[in-house]
Amino acid sequence: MELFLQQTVNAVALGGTYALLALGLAIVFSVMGMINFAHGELMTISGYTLMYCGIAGVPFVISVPLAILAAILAAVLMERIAFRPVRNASGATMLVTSFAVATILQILFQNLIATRSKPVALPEGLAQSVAFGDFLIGVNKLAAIGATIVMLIFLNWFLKRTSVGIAMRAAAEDFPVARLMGVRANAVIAGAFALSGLLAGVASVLWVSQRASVDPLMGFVPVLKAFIASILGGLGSLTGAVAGGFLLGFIEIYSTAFLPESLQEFKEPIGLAVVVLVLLWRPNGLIPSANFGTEKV
Amino acid sequence: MPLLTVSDLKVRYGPVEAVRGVSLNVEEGELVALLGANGAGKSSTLNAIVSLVPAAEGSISFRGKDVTKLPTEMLVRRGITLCPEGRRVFSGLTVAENLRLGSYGRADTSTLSDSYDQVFELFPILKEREHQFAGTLSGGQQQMLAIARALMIDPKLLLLDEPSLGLAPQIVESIFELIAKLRAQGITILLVEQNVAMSLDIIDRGYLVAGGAVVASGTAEELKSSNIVEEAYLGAH
Ligand SMILES: Nc1ncnc2c1ncn2[C@@H]1O[C@H](COP(=O)(O)OP(=O)(O)O)[C@@H](O)[C@H]1O
Ligand SMILES: [Mg+2]
Repeated sequence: MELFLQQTVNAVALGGTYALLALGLAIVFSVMGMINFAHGELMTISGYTLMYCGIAGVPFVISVPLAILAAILAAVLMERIAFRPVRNASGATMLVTSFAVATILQILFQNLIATRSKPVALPEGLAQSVAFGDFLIGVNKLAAIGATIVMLIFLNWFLKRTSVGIAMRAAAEDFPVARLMGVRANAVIAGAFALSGLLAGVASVLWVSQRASVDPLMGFVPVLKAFIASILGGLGSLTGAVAGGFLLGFIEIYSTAFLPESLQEFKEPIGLAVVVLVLLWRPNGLIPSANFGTEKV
Repeated sequence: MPLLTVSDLKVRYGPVEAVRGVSLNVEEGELVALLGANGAGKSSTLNAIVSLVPAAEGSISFRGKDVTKLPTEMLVRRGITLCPEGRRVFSGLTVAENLRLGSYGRADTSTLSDSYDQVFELFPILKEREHQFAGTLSGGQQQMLAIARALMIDPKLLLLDEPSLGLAPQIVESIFELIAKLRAQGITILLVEQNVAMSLDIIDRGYLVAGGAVVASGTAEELKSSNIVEEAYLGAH
């Protein structure tokens, strides 16, 4: 029972991080029709910001917002420099552009920073545990769960209560008509990238807090997972992205924790088999988007 | 000087020339219609006026200024809006959110509450359904919402593309009554309709479009008595 509870906490923490990343992909996809595979490099940029802040002796409470800000700025610049020129191009062109951006950034990190993994100084508190009765939860896990909840509440508020948020939802549904109402395409898309940067930055801080290191390719795996999560949830659907992220977190943690020893080496294929089964059952994902395939800008 | 002047407008989709040199004008306070059968090029003309499709040739001026190249989102800020064909309300947004978005590009927000009063007085049902998703409304209610949303920017010129399309006969009647009422409130309207007979009862002037060109034009009375309209549209009634 205790192991089960423990693993459930781990699954929520990991699933929450995937959910934030999948949300970032989904927000951009919903207004632009493009999966941004360079989303992972936004995480890496945040990770290196944390690392340099640590080296410079900046307190963690300041380096975290700086790291998140770096991801937001990078996301907005990425849109401005790389994606705006191909906005009206085909889906394939945009996809290739996002791979190219990811690759260029990885090469820059390797050449300008380091090819290998570098340690990130974290406050000691993060590695400690809090006791709930005789049940211990890591501070980093609690932080991950708390940050996920705060981000989900913020995003829900932003998309439902602010004019820009409502404009983003409208643009995701019918971009030409949103423009008829005076919604500027550039503003909505830049806003979507800024939000995705925010989510990648927070996810990166959580990711690095579990591992205490950064490397040039660190964004690849989590973004691949987030991509799977967003397909699982229904591409372009925001609620779906959250559901898919959590489901993937549960599949991964439970299969690692509860599969018998002899099956452990097959846990990745078994996990993917579960994903495939879910998609056979619901080909458009758990909570499909009503706007999939609608005309973009 | 007319509020809107369209001169020799051409619209092309690849090799297809959908609009072949349309010229028209709308004076302030007028209710003018573009009438014609399906595929005549009416929607293409309206979409070109609001820059949703590019004008291949010709020019569009609004209040004496050339706006041919102005992007859609800037035209709204000048006071031109289009209530598009097929309603196209944001079904995943509530009625209130649709209306709020309608005022997104509004130049003068000091009178915003007047517009809310105006649309809730015209369409009390929208007030009742304020927190419902637009996708759950009936076709007629969605059309009311689409018009209300367009009114939220307090337009100087309202373009209405086939507001009666696909609606039940009694609703069609109430939509035409509504358009007449909007005109009486002083809103300048360029209406696109296939329902020629009902349109002729409420409009000031009209242009009959066929094959991407204007084939007849004049006041409602002139059009009613013109052979071409009689033969093509009114004979069956
Ligand atoms: N997006 C488009 N791509 C290609 N052809 C189009 C497009 N929109 C309209 N057309 C063609 O242009 C012509 C005029 O269409 P439209 O302006 O919609 O007419 P109407 O509104 O009078 O029914 C039609 O032949 C139609 O098939
Ligand atoms: Mg039409």
